[in-house]
Amino acid sequence: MTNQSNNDLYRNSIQYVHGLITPSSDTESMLGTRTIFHGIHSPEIFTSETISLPELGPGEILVKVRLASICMSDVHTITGHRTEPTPSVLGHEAVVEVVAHRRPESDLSEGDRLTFSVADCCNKCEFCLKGLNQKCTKLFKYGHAKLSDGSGFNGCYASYIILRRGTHVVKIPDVISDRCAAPINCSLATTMCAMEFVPKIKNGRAFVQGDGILGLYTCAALRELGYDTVYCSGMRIRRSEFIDRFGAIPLYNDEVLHEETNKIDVVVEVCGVSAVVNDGIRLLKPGGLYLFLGMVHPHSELNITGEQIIRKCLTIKGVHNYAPRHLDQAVDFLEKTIQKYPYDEVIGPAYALSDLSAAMKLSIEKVYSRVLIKPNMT
Amino acid sequence: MSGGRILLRIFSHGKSRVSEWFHSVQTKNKLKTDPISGARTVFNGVDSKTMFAPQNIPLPELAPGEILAKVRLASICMSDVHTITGHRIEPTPSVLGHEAVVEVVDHRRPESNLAIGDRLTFSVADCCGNCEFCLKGLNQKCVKLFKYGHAKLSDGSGYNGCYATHIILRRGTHVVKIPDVISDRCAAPINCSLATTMAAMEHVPKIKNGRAFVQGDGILGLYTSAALREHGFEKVYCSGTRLQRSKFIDRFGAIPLYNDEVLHEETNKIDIVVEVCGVSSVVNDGFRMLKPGGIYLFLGMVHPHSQLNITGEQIIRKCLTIQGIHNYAPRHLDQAVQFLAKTIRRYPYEEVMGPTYDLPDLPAAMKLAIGKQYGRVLVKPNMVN
Repeated sequence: MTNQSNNDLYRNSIQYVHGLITPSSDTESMLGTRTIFHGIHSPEIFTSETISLPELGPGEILVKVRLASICMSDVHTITGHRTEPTPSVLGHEAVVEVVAHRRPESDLSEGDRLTFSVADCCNKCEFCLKGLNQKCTKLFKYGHAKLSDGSGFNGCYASYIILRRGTHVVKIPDVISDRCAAPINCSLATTMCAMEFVPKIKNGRAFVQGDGILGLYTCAALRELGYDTVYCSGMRIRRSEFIDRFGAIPLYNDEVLHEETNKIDVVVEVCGVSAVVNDGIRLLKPGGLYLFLGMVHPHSELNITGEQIIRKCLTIKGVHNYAPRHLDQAVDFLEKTIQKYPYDEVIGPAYALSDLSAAMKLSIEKVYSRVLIKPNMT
Repeated sequence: MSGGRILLRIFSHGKSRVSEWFHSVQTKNKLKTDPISGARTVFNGVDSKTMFAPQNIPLPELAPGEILAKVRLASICMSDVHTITGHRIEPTPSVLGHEAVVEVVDHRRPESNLAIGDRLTFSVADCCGNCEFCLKGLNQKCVKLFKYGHAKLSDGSGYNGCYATHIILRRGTHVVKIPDVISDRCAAPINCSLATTMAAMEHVPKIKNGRAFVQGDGILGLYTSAALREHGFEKVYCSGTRLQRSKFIDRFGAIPLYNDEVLHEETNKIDIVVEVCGVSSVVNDGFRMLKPGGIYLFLGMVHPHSQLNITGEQIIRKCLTIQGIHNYAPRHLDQAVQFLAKTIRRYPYEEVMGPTYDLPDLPAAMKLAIGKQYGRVLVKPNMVN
């Protein structure tokens, strides 16, 4: 044996003795495949790389990506509407499986299916301490980090991801399939975060502007909170047929609901289009609440006056990402309502990692609420 | 005194006739069986030949729940200035003026503990108490809303505004007694400025080492600065326009800044920003200063020229809350009186007030109010006693 392999054996045996890794998952000799995004002006936008997985640091979890889903923010990144640091591994929505971990105080086991917080945070800065962890001063976001940051296995368009020690994780109950679980840690958790601001209102009326996955989840969440009448406006494409099955009354973008002027308690913008805001303000009753979720891009100029906000005593609340508690709430919510809403049916087909480009293309078309990537095909 | 030089017309009555009339009112018996006359200044609209016209007419009998009150001292709210300069449209003809400390002359609220001579402040919004909005504590948006100083002459008794010797408070109007420690000069602005400030404060959390920025140094800005300090905010900035009233900013507990000063070091560090200047262009700077999770209160921009130049992204990325505050609910009037009684010695409430004019000199008073030199300019309709 060479010195190198003697050292390897030694190091691995120490780690085995300390119970930090199981002998069947010697991470040092494991290889991971990741799809690297180089930026839209690069000669090759995506390249594939297979390299050794690094050793885990304290508190880290090595997970296999079971199923990832393509969030619209990634679509915006690869179509140039949004700028992220490069090179990087994109993808932040996924259901993953524990391979090895260094969280001895936890109850994690190899094989556990998990969802995880997109935001890795410090838990002690001003923002973490007030429950706004997504604005942590030391924020790190999976799928939004440079390759050189941390382990480099930072995104879900890869066979593995290394979860850092500040990352909150939640186990997925068996009743939730992989297809339903994948979008939990962005779409559904963000919806839970939005719902934190929604009061329980007797005979409440709501209007959801947008019928993507955020819109559909928001409709269900509002109905579960007790809202009587929930409208959801969509764009007349295939996924809109699910609006009523998620508990809402479907409308199409060009329909103006005159009879609800000044009658809506909560309007939720989840379409990313700033032009809808004037209609939202019209619909809101005095004292009403407007949640802004979708317009996370610079082309979101608002064409409103201060007077409109003041005269109706409106509240406008911006919701960006979520905090650890919302991930817990998302899993509970999904488990509780899994039979009630067609969560599986709105999700589209799954592509292999090597077909990421094709998957992205299908996502752009917005036919399905989500398009999936299954990196570990075996 | 040449009060009528700007856009306002001179009264049709001579000043001596009005004084004569005032005296005759004062000698009338105050029992409700004797008819008394009141004088009111009717606003006919900016384009009218006689913009302000005085009127003396008998006061109607009180209906159940109503209170006949003498106007002790009224203050000119900026919204009235906007109305008479044409920036704001109100129904006409009407009696303007909605901020005042009044005194009970007579009442039909047997269940109350009101007595003749009580000094009161009263809610600008008369409301029904049982619609959806009243029931959720947003009385100022009552479906049957009536606002003093904003109602047509033909609505109700017609004695609907404070630029008059008397006002008849309707039965849906919440009133609060003024403690002796609060002078008339300090009491007059309670029922618009200070009560609205209390409504705004309801949305302000108690934050350890809180930092706030108040955009505007008019009476709303000064009251808001004091309220934030009393709420425990450590650092309160207040930006003003270098007018005389700006010199009071620090005495109301805030660090004075001027409009052209940009506080770079507080970018992303401010917990609460309060817009109380009515100028929409300050909003971008407010957004810059707010920290993630911060709250922006909008109070001043109650007019159509308040176009915002912001993006949805700015609001979302910092998880900001924007809260619009318009007027207030009955509980805020109670809070305002308590707040003022508690802090009356701590802040120079009296000193920021300007001079007092009598009712025929309303145009001169308005002109001074437009100049924004003082927190408020006053009108004393009942000059005798």
